[in-house]
Amino acid sequence: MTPTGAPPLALPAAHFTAAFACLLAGSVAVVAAAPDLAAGAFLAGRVTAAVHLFTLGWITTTIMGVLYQFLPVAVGAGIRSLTLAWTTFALHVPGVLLLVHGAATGMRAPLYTGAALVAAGLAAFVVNLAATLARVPDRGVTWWGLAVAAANLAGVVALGVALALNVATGYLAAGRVPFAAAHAHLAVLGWVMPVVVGVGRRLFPMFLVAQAADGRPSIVALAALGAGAPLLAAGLAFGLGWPSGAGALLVLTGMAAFAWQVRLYFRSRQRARIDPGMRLAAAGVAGLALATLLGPGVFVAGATRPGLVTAYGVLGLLGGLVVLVLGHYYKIVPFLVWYHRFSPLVGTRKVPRVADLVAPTPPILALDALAAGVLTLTAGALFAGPVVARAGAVLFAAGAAVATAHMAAVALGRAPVLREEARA
Amino acid sequence: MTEETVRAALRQVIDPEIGVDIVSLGLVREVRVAGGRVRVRMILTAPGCPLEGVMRRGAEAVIGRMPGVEAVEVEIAREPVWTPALMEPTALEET
Repeated sequence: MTPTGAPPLALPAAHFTAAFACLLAGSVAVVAAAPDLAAGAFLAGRVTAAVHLFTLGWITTTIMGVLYQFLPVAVGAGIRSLTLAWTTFALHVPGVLLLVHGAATGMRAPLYTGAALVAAGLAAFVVNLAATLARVPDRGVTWWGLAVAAANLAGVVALGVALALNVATGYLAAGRVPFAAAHAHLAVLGWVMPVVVGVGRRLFPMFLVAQAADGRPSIVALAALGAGAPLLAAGLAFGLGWPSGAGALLVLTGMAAFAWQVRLYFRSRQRARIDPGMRLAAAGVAGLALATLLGPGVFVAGATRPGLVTAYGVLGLLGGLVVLVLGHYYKIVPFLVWYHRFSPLVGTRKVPRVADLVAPTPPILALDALAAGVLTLTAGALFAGPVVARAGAVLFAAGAAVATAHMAAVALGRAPVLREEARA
Repeated sequence: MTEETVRAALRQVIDPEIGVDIVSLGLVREVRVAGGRVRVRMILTAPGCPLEGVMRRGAEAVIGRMPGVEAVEVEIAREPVWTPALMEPTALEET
């Protein structure tokens, strides 16, 4: 049994399992890379490996799984091809592991094989998503968010392949850093953020019961990010002054509009309490806002202030997107467990609520550890403190481990309410 | 069996995400009772809501158990679009 229009549970479950494995691996990789982060060596192999475990392994794999599950809700149509979705998964996950292994060790064979597999997997995903979107007549904010994201993902892959080829040939020379900056910004602001803004237009009001919230800031956010991210990436990659400046202003506008939109969702909410998932999501948005505040300084100083660049990356990626994505898991996993365990019983007996499947303490512990870890790691990066950076990384990894163990317990039916059900 | 008793029975069906019954949420838009036949027109909190089948089956099950019911028809309508304004005033106090 699956929710209306959704794929078999195995598809999102496989993605979510792989994503959590990457979250844990990425957290351990950050502990290993902490001295590099404290030294501002943001392009070191260990840092590159950790970053890709989060961006490709945690965030992108999650987006794929979530979209397969919730496209019917988000745009009114399920994914076009389940076969292509499984093919994507089979290319993407081994590709990420090989790419990360190659980046961490400097071995070219796994790096290139991994990059090729990831590129092929993402290309298959873009084709599948585009074919799905083409069938949807109602083209609102969510549709445009996904369309913009899919188009930019192709650019992210192209820049990534260019950077991978540079490892062997060195053809980018001094252009390596600006190319990496273009790749990273297009990935976060052009691929991930339009998905967050577009899908968030559906999910935040649903989770907060905030359907009355004014949705216009999300339109501004999407338009500004959609135009600004490619402009900024092109300007950075090719050293073009005015496109960089205009792109930076646009993405700042987009991020500010998104933060304002989330504020409106929370202020318009009808629910008296903010549940653990939405608390984590709010913390993630706060992390993104802090990174955005550092953005102009990073833009002006660039690689001359590597500590600032590293802090900007830590706040935006670990404190922002990683935590924001985790918050959505606290809504999605309990819902899927509830659906498969209890939905056949609705109307025949009293059933628990989805929220009853989530014990309150673990997400509080996880959020405290993640937030403390990010702030400590940021301080280590800003003030060149390797011990401080490592302590922050350990705290962050502890938070990720608590959240992963908790989600696994919920998924495996070990939530207290499920144990009581089993005894009954 | 009256419209009121059918609505009372439908309060057993809870939206599992919000944790509130479908009558208090304002999802039940119309109940018609004609002899042993019951027809319910309801909406969902979001277009394409993944719980469409669950809500329909739940409503059919609770009405089907009422004495005197011979047939139940539950229609999931697209209009009106649900907003929090459709809820009973105290619906979300405990959520």
